[in-house]
Amino acid sequence: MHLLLVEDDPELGRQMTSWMARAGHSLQWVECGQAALDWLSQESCDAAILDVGLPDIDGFTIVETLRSQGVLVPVLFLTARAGVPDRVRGLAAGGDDYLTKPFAAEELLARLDALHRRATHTQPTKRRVGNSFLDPVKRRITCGQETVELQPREWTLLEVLMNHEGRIMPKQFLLEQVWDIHFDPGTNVVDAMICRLRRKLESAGSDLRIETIRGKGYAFEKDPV
Amino acid sequence: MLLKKTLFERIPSQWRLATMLALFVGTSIALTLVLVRSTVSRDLRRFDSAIILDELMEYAAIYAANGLQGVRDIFPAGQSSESHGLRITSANGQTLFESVPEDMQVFDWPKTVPEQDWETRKTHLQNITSPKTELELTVGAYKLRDGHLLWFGRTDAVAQLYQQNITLYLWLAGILAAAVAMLPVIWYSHEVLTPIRAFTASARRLHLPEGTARLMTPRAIPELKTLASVVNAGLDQILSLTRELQSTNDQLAHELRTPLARIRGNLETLLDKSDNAEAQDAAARSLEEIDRAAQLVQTILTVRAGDHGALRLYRQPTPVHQLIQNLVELFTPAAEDRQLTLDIVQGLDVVLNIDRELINQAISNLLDNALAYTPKGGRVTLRWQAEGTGAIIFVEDTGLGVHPEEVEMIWERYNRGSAAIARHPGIGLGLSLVRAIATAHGGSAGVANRSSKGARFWINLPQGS
Repeated sequence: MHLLLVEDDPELGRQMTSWMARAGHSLQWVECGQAALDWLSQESCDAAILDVGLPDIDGFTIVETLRSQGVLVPVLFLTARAGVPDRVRGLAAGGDDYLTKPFAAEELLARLDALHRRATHTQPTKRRVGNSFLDPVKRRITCGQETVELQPREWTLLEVLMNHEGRIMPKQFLLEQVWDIHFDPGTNVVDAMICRLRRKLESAGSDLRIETIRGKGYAFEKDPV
Repeated sequence: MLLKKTLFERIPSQWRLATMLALFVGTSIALTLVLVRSTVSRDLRRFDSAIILDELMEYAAIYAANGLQGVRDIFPAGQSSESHGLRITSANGQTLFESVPEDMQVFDWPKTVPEQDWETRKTHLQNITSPKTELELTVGAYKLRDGHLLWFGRTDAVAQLYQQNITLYLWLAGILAAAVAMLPVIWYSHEVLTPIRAFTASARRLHLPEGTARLMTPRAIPELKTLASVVNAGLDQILSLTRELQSTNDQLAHELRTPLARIRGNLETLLDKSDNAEAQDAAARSLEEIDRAAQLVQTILTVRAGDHGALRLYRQPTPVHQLIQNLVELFTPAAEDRQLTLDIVQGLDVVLNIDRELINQAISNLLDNALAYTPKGGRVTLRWQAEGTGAIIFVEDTGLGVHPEEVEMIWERYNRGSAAIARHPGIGLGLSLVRAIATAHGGSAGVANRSSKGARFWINLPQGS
């Protein structure tokens, strides 16, 4: 992906530049709102990462300006404000997603993926993954003779993990995607759900695997045969 | 008595004022009537007596000059009134002359005068009533020089007519006064009550977030205008303090979260780049701590804003059963891992206008608590019931319950129950957050021990406007 980053904090800018490079994205980094508007009037990108608290023009205003000019680039806000009203304001201004500092590199990447995917989103259909046959209508996984049925949330969790195959999904991202929860509920709810999903997959003899990566999150992978 | 009092208090004030004025006017009229009537009646009686005495003297003089014949000639000519009667009787009561109009014949005219010393008092007056008429006859007697008695009688017909007229005019004046007395009621209801109602209407909007509503007093009396401006000045100050608190909160969030974000980024790089297992483990644990710290910053700022009515709410119509169902789905695997049963007692479908995420967070905190403090094999139950137009949500567990002395203390910032300190490290903000969120919604939160076993936490949420 070709990305634009608008961030006035040099440390965060430097970190994100290196993460994006490692993830294989090209990144243009500018430090103020006016520079972002100037750059976008000349160039285009697949998505823009916008800090809300910028020294000259705030992120919300930048997006409002862009949208009024007919620029439809997907926008992800970065902000220190975590309240729902702030998030709603960001989305109302024309933003597409909202990420609160501090955040995990994987979370940013997963969200950018999701933003990019949204345009080319297709309905999940019956399909074979590894040795497992997936039926999204009946939420059923079949491996040979063994069949296991998943609860709606378990299925959504598996879909989100599979959609970002090979990427590490932070706990907070999964909470938001699967349960629409934007805070840490305390109890290890995600871990418990992952364990249950894992047990169900194993009981059916599926080679679909969900790895726990300490300090980072979870990743979906097919068992190497 | 109590019932009467509450009934009176329920009457709208303009009716109370009207009732009081009516009582006042009514009492004034009644008192005036009684006083005036008794005074006038006494004066008229004196007047009647004076006339009778005058007439007696006059006819005595005529009798002395011209004898019985003189009186007989003059009396019919001199009297036009139907209310005067004249008699002359002998000392033993025999009538010598009588000229009494028909109306006055209903009275039983006296024949003799009770024993009296005629030397000291020349005349004698007596009042006579009759069951046939309401009038009263006053009869005066004069002892003539020849020993005969001269009687002159006069009824109080004229006096009663006067009294009736006076009563009528007093009533008319009273009704007029009562009508005038209603003017204050009309004034009161227009100039005082209407502005107060407008006050109440605008005051109802004051609790809305970012309360910019102010008391409006378009046609109020000066005192109410002053009150409104004083209250509005106070509200302005509260609003400016609230805004200041919100902006310091935003500032604080920025100041605290940005360095956390920088540290987090660097730790991630360390975790990715390090081949040393120990370093990786340290980095992973630090990342978890950073996330906890970020959550803590958010909680502290939310509690701080909630305690001061500065929490910005994003209210949406939210079906309570759906919100609870989702949370139960979220917590069930974790509860089962702890060998706990998590269930719902279905209540009526209630839709509340609330900040869904904050209420989610509040109930999650209670569930988190319940899961932590309920021993294996226990049960955690969520239920709710409609309360007025709002609802109460209960989280019940079968744990040890809350120590009675700590029922209030555990809600205070940084306070944790004695059971908590032993088992979980960290500072106690979870329940303060629950209470702050409930308060920001105009509701409340509390806990009581169940009669059987365990604790029952509740959040009371009124219907949001």
